[in-house]
Amino acid sequence: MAKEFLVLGRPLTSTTTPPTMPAGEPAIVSGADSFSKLPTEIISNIFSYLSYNDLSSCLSICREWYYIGNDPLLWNELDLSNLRNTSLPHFLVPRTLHRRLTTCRSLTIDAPISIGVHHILTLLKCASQSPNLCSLTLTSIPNIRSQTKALEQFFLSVKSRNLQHVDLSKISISTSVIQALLQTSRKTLKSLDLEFSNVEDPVLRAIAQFEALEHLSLLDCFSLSKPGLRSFLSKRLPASVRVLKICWLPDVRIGWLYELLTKPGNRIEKIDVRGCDRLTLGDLRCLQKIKPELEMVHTALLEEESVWGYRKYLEYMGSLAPPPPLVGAAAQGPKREPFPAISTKQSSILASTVPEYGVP
Amino acid sequence: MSEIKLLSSDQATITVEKSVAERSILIKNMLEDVGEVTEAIPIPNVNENVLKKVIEWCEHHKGDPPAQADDDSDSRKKSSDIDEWDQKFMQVDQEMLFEIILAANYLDIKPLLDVGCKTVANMIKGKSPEEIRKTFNIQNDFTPDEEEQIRRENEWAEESVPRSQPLDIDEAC
Repeated sequence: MAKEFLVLGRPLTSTTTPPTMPAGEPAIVSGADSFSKLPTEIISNIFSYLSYNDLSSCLSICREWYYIGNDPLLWNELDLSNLRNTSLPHFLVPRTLHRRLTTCRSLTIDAPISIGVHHILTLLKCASQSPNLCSLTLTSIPNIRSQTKALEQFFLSVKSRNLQHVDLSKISISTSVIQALLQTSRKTLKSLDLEFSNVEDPVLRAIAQFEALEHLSLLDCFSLSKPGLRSFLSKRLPASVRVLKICWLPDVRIGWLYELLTKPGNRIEKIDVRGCDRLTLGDLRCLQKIKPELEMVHTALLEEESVWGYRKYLEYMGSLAPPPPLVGAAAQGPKREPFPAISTKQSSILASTVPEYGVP
Repeated sequence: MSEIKLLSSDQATITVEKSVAERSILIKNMLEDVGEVTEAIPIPNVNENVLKKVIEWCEHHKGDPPAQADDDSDSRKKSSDIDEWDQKFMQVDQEMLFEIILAANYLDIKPLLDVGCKTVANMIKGKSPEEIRKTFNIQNDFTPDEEEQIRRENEWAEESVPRSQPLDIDEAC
């Protein structure tokens, strides 16, 4: 589609002589306009690194840029986090924005500065018309819970039959929203992030029904109950899940993960159990034994949950002159894969957990 | 380590390690097709200065893992971060920058092409249309009416607040 657009656009650029240019005016010195030497693909490549504000500026530079910059491919991924509320006067979506939204593949609204919930719902209404919508990120949006019905309606009216990635982290959503998502994207959804969200147990029942889910993050979903989490992890987790993040859910027990990993047909490749305080290095070794190729990200420091384990930990801490970097501590676990680079955030979390472990 | 010779458009011969020259997919495929070559390979579209610059880049990046195929079409907006060495490398005048981009395109060195495009993208970022025209010496070929119409159509995007501005609580809620 994009290709056709360009093919149609290009003859226009070459045949239209600029009507405003007076004949006598000296043309720009040849060679000075470096861009005229570049083929369209390269200009398009340059544009692909620009955000929508810069890309919009480019449209008004010259005819050639206007045609290249209007390639729908360049507008596939819209990040409207910085949109100003005055851009949507009376909740009316400008024509060009409407066009971008109704064709976009991916829409991101993360911690919007200026637009509020009602603006976001207006934008979502347009995006729901996009037949290409594949990825949706709605994160850190205050007050969205009051608009549960509208959000539900959005997921029910999504025209795209290929919604694959949904990130609803750091917002407060109710179960019905996930159920609505389930209705339209049961077979297509590949990744779902619900980090720091206050979803409750019924959501797990909905998640269990996604048929193609490969990536699931329940990082710090603090409202999940222990029994709910247990039955979900050990029995109901969709078999298609490959990457599972259950960080900072302190209830997680080794037994649940054991059941999960021994279940026939499970495809787990990576689990992230940082901050799951009940898991010890011994537990993790046991999981590794069940599935040698499993990649684990964890913050476990205790050898095992016993006096012996604590003593071993203290000895280990004492043996290190400077405080241990997390990599060193974690590398003690029998891990095949090297650990992913430990972010400073992670090590500060570790630092804050250390004193707790220090007290037997 | 075998070496090959390259002949630039202005007839200068440059000797490079084969592995370095093979960062260029064009040369790599050519060498695979013809096997051993003794005489210089002509690179008719690239002059000596630019070719030297490109080879400098290839030498620094010869240990890089081979570029991955562009299969992650799902990935978010491409990052325009450039590593420090490349940033310094790209601190050249505009004409040279565009020559490097064209050479990278011709020689099929995708990572260098991308670095070049990112550098140009970074030159566009945050500028007003008038500033962009000035920077690249581009002629405005719209009629005033057309320009006004395009400006109005895209007003929604130009008005956006930059991320660094403090959050206005009243507006956000």
